[in-house]
Amino acid sequence: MKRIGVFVCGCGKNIAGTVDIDRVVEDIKQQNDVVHAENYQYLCSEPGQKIIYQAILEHELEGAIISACSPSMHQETFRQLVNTAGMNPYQCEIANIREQCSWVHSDEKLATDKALDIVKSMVAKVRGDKDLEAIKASLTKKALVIGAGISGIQAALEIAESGHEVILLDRNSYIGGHMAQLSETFPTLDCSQCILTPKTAEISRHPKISLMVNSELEELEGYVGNFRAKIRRKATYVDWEKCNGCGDCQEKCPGKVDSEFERGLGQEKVISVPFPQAVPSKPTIKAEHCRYIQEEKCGVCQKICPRNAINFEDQGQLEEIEVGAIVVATGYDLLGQDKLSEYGYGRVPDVIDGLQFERLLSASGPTGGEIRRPSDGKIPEEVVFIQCVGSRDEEKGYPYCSRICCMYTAKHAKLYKHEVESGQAYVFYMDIRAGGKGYEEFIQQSIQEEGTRYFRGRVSRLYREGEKVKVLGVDTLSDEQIEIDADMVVLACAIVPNYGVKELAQKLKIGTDEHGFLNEAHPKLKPVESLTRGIYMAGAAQSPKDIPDTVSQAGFAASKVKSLFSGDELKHSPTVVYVEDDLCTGCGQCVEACVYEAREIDEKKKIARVEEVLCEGCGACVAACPNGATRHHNNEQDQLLSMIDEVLE
Amino acid sequence: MKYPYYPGCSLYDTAAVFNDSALKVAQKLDIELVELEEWQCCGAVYPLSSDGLFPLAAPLRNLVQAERMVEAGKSGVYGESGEVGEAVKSEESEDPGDSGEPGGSGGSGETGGTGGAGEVSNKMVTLCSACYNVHKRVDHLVREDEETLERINSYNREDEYHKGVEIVHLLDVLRDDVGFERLKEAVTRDLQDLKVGAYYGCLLLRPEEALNFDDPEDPAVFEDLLTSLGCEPVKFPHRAECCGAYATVHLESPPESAARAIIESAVGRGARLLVTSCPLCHYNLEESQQNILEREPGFQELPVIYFTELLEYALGLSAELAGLDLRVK
Repeated sequence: MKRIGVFVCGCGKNIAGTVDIDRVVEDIKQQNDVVHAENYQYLCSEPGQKIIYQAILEHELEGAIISACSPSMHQETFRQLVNTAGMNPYQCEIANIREQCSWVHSDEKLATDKALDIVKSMVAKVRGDKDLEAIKASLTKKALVIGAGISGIQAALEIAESGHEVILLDRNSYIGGHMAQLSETFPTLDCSQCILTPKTAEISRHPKISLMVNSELEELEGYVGNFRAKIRRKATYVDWEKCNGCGDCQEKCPGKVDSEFERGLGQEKVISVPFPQAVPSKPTIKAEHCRYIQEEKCGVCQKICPRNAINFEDQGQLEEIEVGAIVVATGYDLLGQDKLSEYGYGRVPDVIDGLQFERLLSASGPTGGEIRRPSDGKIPEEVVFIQCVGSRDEEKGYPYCSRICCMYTAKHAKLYKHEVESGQAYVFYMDIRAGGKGYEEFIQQSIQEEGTRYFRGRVSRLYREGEKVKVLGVDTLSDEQIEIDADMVVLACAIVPNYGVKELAQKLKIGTDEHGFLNEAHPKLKPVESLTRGIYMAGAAQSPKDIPDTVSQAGFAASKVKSLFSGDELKHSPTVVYVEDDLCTGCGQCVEACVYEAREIDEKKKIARVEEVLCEGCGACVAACPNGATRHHNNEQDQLLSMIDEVLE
Repeated sequence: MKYPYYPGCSLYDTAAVFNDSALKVAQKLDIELVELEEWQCCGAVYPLSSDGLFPLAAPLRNLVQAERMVEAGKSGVYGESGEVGEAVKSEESEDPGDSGEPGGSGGSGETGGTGGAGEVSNKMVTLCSACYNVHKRVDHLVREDEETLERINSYNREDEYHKGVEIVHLLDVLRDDVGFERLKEAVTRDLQDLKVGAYYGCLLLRPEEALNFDDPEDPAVFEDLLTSLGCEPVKFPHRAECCGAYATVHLESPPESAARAIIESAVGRGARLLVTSCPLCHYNLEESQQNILEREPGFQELPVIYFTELLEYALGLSAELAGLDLRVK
């Protein structure tokens, strides 16, 4: 005989509107072992919690059933509450009569009958529940931040500031990400480099941050607090320990390639630092273009290097690190030309994307900050900007809004006009989405002060006509066909997840949405958590966002890591599986069934065992076990059978 | 190799020259186009402009006819005259899947390459862009959605379709089965310096996911064909633009302006001749030009012909290029 209490929540009208909670209370009182039952409007409220607390003490309850919303909402709240009243938290169970009953039914009688069945089955479960203690696990207080754009930089700095070590990883040879490519930023027009470089400089000198550029995550094992990561450092062919960044090699190198940093608009040396302010300011060799590495000719850089830092034999290396938490900040990319043939992107040389235009605007860019079009270097007198290129286009498979394009296009038009006073900018748009502090004002300024002409409508066709780019479109406000002989066209291409993010997400065992953006655990309440504990996300890797939003989210992700690191050990739910050694034959079917890699065969004893910290208590192995050796704490077979009996009665 | 062939109404009337030239060219290239036993108007693009399924019954019946021919070919029942015996009907329910799988057709085409008299490809050949568009889209629709197939089949009763044919355009056959290299060898006339614009129009390319014919924004198959004939293809911006042919029936000005833009675009890039595969476009472009000429005698005209007419001439099957005095040696 166990003294059980049942508490039924009305949840305003969410439950009470469909389920007769008075009848639930009256009927459940008839059940064996139920010594107390009552209902209340909002059990999660402070007075509601007080009712439960007092009832536990007054009736000396040994088990409690909270009949309310889904356990994913408030199980934690109520378990902590009963614990303060002296009850073991695992003696408290949630009967979900909201999501699984009142919300999906309309007939009051039937819904009330079903609610009763649900509560009765939980009474049967609590009868068999045992006192359990949380499982404790060790914790490595060191974080890995993947991606060193503004998002990763911000997260790394904040974690490091709180005294924890951070490893900041980037596959490029520099940090700063796309923000390093930008000219000026909306809506204040601060120079991007000017606000970024203080942060990149701080990264390089911070004692708690170790920088691993030119590196990628190859493999991840372990679990929250105890991840083991294999990092592949790619070959740079330059010993950065020896290199003093003098730049002689870059000056003398005879080979040139299209610069990735300049998005193909400029060239760089085969051995080079990608841009003047790059951190770290150390060169790498692009092996596939290096004459020495390919044909064993040249070798000038090696000959002239005063520090003897050139190493053509560099193979890169694999390093293993241990961290307790991970922040994924892999950022974005722009939709590529293979998807945009209707706008002539990739075919018409004077059609470029937004990031290429940023490079034309940048003082350190390929044109030294003068706006010159790619085909012949002329200064364009008429520039057409097209928004929503790919974005909000279901046909193309990118139905979402890329969020930043309205703003950066207005910025582009403005900066263009500052540079080319006689020029005219045109913008084709679907609607203007300028929801941010000072954003709408910025757009209005671009229209009123800079004379940018906005057409609400799409471009129907675009092709090269002589030296011009013919742009045909429509202005749906004036109902006119628009024909512009443009000198250059700038496309605001859809923001897409960075390449390789899907594979990375698989290694990390975190989810991505249909477009490849990382999935947060809850869209409103857990915006930086992944479904894997200890892995957080920030920035455009999760969804398209601007710099202010990215920085805020990165700060939040960092604070999640900090609170994880605030204790000395981690607690894990004890409702996990265990093995009856005598019944186990070591067949290994549980190992195959487990998706969390929590099951393995003990080679010495030839039986299966459980890595409790990894077990999520899903029960897949329990079902797979042919002879009932695998069991589940507080989900024992007799408990489950009696629960089913109650529902079927 | 025998191919089930659906000519369509236009090719029996205004576009008879398209049919005649195509048959001659096909014969020369060992493509045996066998006209379907029974066929009916596919409705041009009208069936696909409404939401109802009933209008789709007609094009689907044509596919059933083609399917019977393919089945008859498999069992060797198919005779020289194109007769479809009763034996076929009893067999058609047996094996709808195998050859009907998308992509599987190429293989069956090859295996049948040198086969006997009964060997029939499962590719149903069309010539008119509209017919191609309608049949391919209907086929795509029923392959995507089993329920739709069941519903249309229920209208057709005895003529049930089992997804056993692939709908292709003659251009597909020339590109994939004959190959442009082989075509090049068959050319007997020198067409060097003949600047030809290929006008795709809209029906041949869109919607992309159903037709999967070529890149709708930057198609190449026509230009590749022209290159293999030895002429100089002229890529012009409006080559995949709609000519507005449908509106010709009741309006005059919109299609005329669309046609003008297409012609001027091609002439502007140096084309002396325009080829098409669409009787609707052919009619509209010719008619519009005549109308424009009446008002503007100085308007630079551009002859529009079916691509098969150019092929016919290039392969030496006609003495001159129909109605044109191009003086090409």
